[in-house]
Amino acid sequence: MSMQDLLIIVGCEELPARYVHYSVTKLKNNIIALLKNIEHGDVKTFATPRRIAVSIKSVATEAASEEKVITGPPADRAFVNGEPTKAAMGFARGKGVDVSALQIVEGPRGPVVAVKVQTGGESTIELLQKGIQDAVLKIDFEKSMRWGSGSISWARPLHKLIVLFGDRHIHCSLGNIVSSSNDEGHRLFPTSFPVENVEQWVSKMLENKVYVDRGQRRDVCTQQLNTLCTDLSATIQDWDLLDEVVDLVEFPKTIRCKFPEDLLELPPRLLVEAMKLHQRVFPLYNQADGSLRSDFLVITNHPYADQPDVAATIAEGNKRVLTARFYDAKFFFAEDRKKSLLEHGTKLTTMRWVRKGGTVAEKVARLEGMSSTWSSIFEADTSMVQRAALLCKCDLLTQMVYEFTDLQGHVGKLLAEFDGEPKSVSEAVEEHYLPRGAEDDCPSTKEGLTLAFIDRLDSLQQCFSLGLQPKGSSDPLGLRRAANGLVRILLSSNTPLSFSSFLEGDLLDFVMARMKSHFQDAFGGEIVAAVFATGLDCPVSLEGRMKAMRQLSQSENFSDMRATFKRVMGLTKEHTSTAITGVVWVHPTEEALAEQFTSVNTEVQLFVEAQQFSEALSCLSTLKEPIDALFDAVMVMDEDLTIRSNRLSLLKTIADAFRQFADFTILST
Amino acid sequence: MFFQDIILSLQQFWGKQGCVVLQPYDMEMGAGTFHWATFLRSLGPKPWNCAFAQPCRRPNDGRYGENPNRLGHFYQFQVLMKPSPPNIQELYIQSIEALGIDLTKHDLRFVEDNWESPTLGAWGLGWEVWLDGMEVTQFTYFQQCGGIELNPISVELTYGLERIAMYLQKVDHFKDIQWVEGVSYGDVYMRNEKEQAAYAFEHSTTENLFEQFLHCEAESIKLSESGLALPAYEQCIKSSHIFNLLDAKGVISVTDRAQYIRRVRKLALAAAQTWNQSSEGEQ
Repeated sequence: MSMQDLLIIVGCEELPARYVHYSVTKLKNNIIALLKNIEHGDVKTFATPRRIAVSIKSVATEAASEEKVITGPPADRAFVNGEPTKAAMGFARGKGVDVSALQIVEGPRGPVVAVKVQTGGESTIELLQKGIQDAVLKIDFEKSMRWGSGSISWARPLHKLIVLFGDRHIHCSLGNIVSSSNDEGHRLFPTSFPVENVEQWVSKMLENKVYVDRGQRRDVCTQQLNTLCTDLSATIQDWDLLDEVVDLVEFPKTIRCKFPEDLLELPPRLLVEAMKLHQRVFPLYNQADGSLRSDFLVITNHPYADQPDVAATIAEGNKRVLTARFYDAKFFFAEDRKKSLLEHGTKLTTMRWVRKGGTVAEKVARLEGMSSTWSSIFEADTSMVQRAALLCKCDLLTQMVYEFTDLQGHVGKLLAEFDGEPKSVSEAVEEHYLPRGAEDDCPSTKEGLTLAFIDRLDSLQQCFSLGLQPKGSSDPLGLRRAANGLVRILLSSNTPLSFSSFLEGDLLDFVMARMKSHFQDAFGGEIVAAVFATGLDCPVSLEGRMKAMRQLSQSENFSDMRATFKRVMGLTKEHTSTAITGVVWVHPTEEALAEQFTSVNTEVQLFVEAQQFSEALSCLSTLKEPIDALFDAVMVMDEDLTIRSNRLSLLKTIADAFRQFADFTILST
Repeated sequence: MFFQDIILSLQQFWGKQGCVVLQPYDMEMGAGTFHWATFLRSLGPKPWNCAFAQPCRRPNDGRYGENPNRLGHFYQFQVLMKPSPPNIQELYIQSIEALGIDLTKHDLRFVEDNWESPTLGAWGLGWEVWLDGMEVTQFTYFQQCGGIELNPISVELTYGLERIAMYLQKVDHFKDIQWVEGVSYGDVYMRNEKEQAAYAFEHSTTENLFEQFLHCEAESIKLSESGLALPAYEQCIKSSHIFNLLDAKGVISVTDRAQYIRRVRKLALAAAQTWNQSSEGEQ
């Protein structure tokens, strides 16, 4: 057995950017699974839109072999008078050997039949030849396709397979593709060259204008963007675009382009969306004041894009596309402004909201109806919320939103401003879509918060009453996101409202489950379970308690404290009364604890009212010492039932005080 | 390169690749995909290669000729090859070079695009091809047409001719495209853009259109039942165009829109089924 380097290259037509890294990761996992019994060294992946590759260092030429003894039925049942029984024959058949190969060995409960089998020893080459097609084809894509007359399906048509083991090209097939020994570079460099080893391949591909290493390609992009930014005294804010663009090119060359200055009069968000979403180019912002500029950066896939004439040609094309798009937008925006936002909304009566859920106009009417109650809860201006509710969906019927869907809300805001609506109305129109996702901010104004809240609340209530609650992992109406939104809006506005005060039944359970999962991401399962045991359903009070618990659980003597409180809670589990009767205290530690509790508890309640849970908890934790003193000095379970009951009642009172924060018995650390 | 030379070059190029060079379909349609030579001929097992320029009408995109980049009537150049040849990307690139575009100076990219026509019950995967950031071609491997899984797979290339011409001729308004020496696109089509937009947005008679839609729908259903795939399909295309006119007039509510699209799709599915059954019968 020897060790050889393995290189597997799969060539294809341009993959969607989001599949590039995904597919090579899957391929790597599949290859490693295929070679699971084969000893090997480091694994590295390479990926561009047109090829994915896995290289594995020092792969054994075969699986280590070993001899194993497998035991079967007892010897006296396997052979009777020296003749094999059915049991013996069945066992031998099961192991694929002849009965004559069976031996008798000593087992723990007497002699048994046994067979020696050889495991391992598979040849790596054979494994590859048998398994490589499957390793490539079983990568599951969200959408896959067939091509030509073939029957295999993949993300895009496959063209090439190279399997190099040591210096030997292994003959493998992939559909009707037969593995080859040559590869080609960038489309403009189609000369094929023999692949000799991974290092030679990487450097030869670079010569032929392909950065096969995704990390390196990404670094090159970043560096080119940064260099240009420095030269131009500009900044880039939309780095989220980078990962996609890296996988749209094999050989990045970044150039600067510019659209006509006068188009900057269009809403900046529109310009930015169009540049990012439609053209995947990087908008530039002035370093000095952060304002949007009329120049932008394009990462081309062109090896000669640094030659001035080529750069000028490519820049001209990109400019034309954006200018045309912006010109359209300008036209739409001008058209849209011919009508007031409210006039745009007249057709909402014909726009269906959800299947069987009536029209958007009906939804708007419900939001207006909910405005007054909820405005007072969020301390917002009712008339502003009402007006914003009336207007918030009107932009759905503008040409701008039809063309640039992601601008919904923003277009509404711009038109509302143009119509001279109050600022808090126009802002609420835009902000009522927030938060769009887990990473997104919540509305910044009270009117925005209120409208965002009632919009989500209405969607949830309507959908649940129509039986449209999410099933399994599918959630086409975004109800999980809506429920998360309710939680986050209450938290960000610090509104101490219990869900059970306005929700019930399935919907309450659903929102509670979303709240739990929201908190689990932030605090971990244990703290969440401990604090949820309070039975509270107000996100603000729950979060305050969790923060306090997290802080407490990170303190040095937490585990001692927890032990004490666990003991208190354990002892009082069966004891329901807090009544103190008769003689009262028979030992000074009882009295000391009772007194300290009384004084601490007043403070604790004040802190709780002020939502200062950390302070409240640290007050409570001062009880550890007198509790420990009591445990050290007396037996709680005294023979005298009155004394016992009084002690339990005292501890129960303390346990209850703790329980309003968390169930300490759930915490493990 | 003049507008007509772009068409001629593409016809010549794809003709040499074994495509039947067809003439435009004499019916109103929103995209070249509606041509029977693409929609119906992508069905079934028989190999088929064709190329043609197809005038397309999208009443909703009409702008009275005022918007430099939007037209209610424009041209697509369509190529359909079944089965899709393994070197189709290379052939496509050669066709771009045949238009005089030097790819050592231009940035050509294949950017993911999943194509879907709810009206035709069709979908496919492929790319929009970007030339210096501009989408010049829709490149699609059809997977399904008329609700029928395809085998073998056809590849469809749709070139946006006005865009390509504007880029090659470096003009900023479609009306300035040189159709041929001394004749501009505006000379040929400006009046059409104005009048057709006025018709679609202002003058069409809604009741007539609704009635026509019903007639075409009924006719298409009847013809499919009679096993006449092509006439049935033509009535389906007509109903689709009438729907587009109604949509442009703004008389179809958002709620009804989906309903109308479903109705047209039903016709397309039936015609496709009929086509498949009768052409399988032939073999």
